Amino acid sequence: MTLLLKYPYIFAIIPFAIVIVIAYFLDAFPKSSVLKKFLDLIAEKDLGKLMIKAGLTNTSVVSYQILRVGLAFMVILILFVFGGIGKDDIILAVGIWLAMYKLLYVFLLIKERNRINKLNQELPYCIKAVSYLCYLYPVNNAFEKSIDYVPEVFKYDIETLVKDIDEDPLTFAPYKKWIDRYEGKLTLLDGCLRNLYRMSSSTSKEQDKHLANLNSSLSAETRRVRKAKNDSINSTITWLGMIPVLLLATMLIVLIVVVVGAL
Amino acid sequence: MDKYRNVLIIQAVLIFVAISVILFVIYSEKKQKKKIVKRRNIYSNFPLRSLVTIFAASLGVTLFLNSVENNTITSVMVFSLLMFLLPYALLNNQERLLREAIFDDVILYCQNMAMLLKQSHNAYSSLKKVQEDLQTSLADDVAALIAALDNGREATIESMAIIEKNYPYTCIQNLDVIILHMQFEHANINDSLIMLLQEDIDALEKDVRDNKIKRRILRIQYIFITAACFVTYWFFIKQIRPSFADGFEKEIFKVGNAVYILSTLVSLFFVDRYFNSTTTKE
Repeated sequence: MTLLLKYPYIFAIIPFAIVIVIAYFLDAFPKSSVLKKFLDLIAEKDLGKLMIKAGLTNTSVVSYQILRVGLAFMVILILFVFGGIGKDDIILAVGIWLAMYKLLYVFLLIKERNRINKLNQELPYCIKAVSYLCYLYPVNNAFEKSIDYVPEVFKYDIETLVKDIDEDPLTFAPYKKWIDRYEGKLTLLDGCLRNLYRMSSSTSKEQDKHLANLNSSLSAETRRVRKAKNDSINSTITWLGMIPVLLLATMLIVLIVVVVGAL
Repeated sequence: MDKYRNVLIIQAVLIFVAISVILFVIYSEKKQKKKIVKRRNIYSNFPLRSLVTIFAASLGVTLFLNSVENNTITSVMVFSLLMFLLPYALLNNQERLLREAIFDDVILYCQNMAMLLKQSHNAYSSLKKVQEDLQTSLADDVAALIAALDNGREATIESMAIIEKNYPYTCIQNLDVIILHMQFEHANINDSLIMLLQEDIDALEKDVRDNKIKRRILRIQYIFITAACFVTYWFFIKQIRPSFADGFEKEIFKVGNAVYILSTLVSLFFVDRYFNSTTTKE
């Protein structure tokens, strides 16, 4: 009650928050809305799935949660001991605890995004290896023979695809399974797999046309990926070029301050 | 007294940082397994003339900086750091030149192989012809591949894996796919596949060459910016030096100069190293 008297605006926020929570669980918000993404961040749906997507396959959800809670408490403890936070700053302490707790969730989101970026960079090389073999073998055999040549991150996907095609060689379902595994986040995958599926069920003349289309888009994508990597290296060198200027500016400011202080 | 103690502590920290940088460079050089230029004893890689040049350059820079900051400790640190870093910088430069030569050989190998495979449809004879034109270590690896072709599929795959590891370019991997299937599975390689390979090789060569030029320009810009910053700093220090009375302010002044000089030299070395290691990456 003392808390509510100290912070009266809580009276206004609570009913508003209740309405938003009910609307969120009834899926009332559009998927692409910022509010929905913010509420997903708070609700932390499917933490286990996110950990796997981020590459933390050897860590359990429980141990990761213990790590998050423990780290957040440690930060609060340090702030209480050294940072001057007192018993009166309970709201601030809770806020900092929540922020630290969420930081490790945001870390998982960033790791997942980096992993998807890396997969998007490797995918053209993977499909290129398959397309080279499509000149020599039928599509289904080309997938099987490409296992030794594709990047390591896609070996499992190719092996699974080969097994699924063996079980169901005529439909698009095996290819769709691979696309769905990445939830449409690999931008090139859908188009390439559709092209390869069409090739598997067309005449040799049509196959040449599909192969030409496929390789044209793969070459463009490979060049784009290479350009992005090189631009990143070039911009790193450009930023590093600022180091002597920053050092000079810092030293001059420090010396001017000392000189002015001495005067 | 406390202020002087703090200045001494800062100087000690600077010496510690300089030694840590040297140890880090030694450690990272040893950790890197793939070295084109051997570096058992760093100075043994250079003839006497180069060593004299390194000594003279280190001494020259130290004397120039000594005119900015007349401090024995700083001068000794700068001289030691330069005598240590300059040979590594020169070796990194040599490695870069070698890597560029190797990349040229890789492109030559892939282009000639594509052309010869199109004409002869025989991987073995094409490899033998192409091997004669290669200049760098790729020639030896291709010779090993030719020998492996006689020993069967497994030996060939092993030899190809070594080549793909030493020369991590996708055109090499794609060419290996074609050679393997042509030699052991008697696959009928049609001209469209060879043309596709040739287009990929041309695209790779163009991209790497464009980036080589861009990065050289960036490197020259970086060196000029650093030199300009040094000269600007030198002029500024000359002007404000009389404003510092003897005592604590002068000590701060000396420490500040030492920090600036050492950090700029170290950052110059690491940026140059980064540049040298990325010129011919795909």
